[in-house]
Amino acid sequence: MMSAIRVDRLTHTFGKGTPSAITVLDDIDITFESGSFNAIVGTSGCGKSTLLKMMAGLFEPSDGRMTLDGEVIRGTDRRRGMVFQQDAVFPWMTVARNISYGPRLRGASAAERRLVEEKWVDLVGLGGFAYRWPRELSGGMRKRVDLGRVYANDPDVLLMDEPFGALDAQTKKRMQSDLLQAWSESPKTVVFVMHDLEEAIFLADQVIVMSARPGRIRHVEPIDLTRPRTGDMRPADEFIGIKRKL
Amino acid sequence: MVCVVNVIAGMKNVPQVYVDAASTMGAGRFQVFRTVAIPAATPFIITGYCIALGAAWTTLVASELLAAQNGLGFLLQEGRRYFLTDQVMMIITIIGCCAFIMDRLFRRFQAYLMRWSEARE
Repeated sequence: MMSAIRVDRLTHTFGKGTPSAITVLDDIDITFESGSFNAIVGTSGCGKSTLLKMMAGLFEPSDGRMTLDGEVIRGTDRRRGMVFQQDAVFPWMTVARNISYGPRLRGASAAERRLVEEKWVDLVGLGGFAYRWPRELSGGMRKRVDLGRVYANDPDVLLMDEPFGALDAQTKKRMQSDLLQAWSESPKTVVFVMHDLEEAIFLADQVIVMSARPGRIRHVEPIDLTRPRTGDMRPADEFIGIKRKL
Repeated sequence: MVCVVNVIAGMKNVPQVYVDAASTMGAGRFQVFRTVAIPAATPFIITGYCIALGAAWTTLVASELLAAQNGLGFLLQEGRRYFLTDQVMMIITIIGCCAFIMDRLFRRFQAYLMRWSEARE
């Protein structure tokens, strides 16, 4: 099942009511369609991560509201999975146990657990590493574990906070293609925060450009490039046209 | 006491991103505590136990030296009083061996608990 997120006149001020109050998000109004791939781009400090964390339910906005299929978002929920900028793989669990963390929380049986582990360890390209500790993996591989763990938990919405920011350009491109692959097989509503416009155009159905201080939506651009998208589309005319426009 | 202080310090040092990751996957407060806070604090808990173990030994022997009707410290004191050199030497060896064995066992246990960590030992 997929779901649409609606952000309704959302404003957030850190330290509201104090002299040092900072408004990080100002009157954000946007809809993320069910099953669409959305990219939010903007310079650092424009509040895009804050917006994402609020959608995950990690904290509440000071004004306005967000709904998921009409239901107001309050607190965290497994329906809204999140991949973080930092490395969030639990170092005290093997790769396999990290992957099956979500199902285990809900008391999955050993057989169910093994099924999930086998499926996702392979799908994120970590075959043969299932029983390794995270400390034995490279940064890119740990990101794969992160992604597999969230996917194995089967959320309706996938929130991604610059998950590939710390990776080298080549690994990043590979991971993006793999992500598109996984997404086309099991579509979810994706909201992906990033700072590279080109990547955003490459990945998304809708690109949201934000401006900083206070964070506002400057522009929303639908991207109609055909799917599946491949690496050689990057230099195509259409692609560059959109890029120039933004 | 040392233990409690260390466990509290350990829990406070759990990186927020682990807690956030667990809760966005649907973990409740107690599940976060059980699956994230405790394992993340394990190094601190172990250090606490290590210090506590050493302190327990010293306190035990010292208090027996002062006021006890039996036990290693008492026998040591008795040997000293009646000039039983062999008894004194034996007790010292026993205390040493016990402490050594406990320390080794504890290290084994620690190595097992911390097998996931980058900084084992």
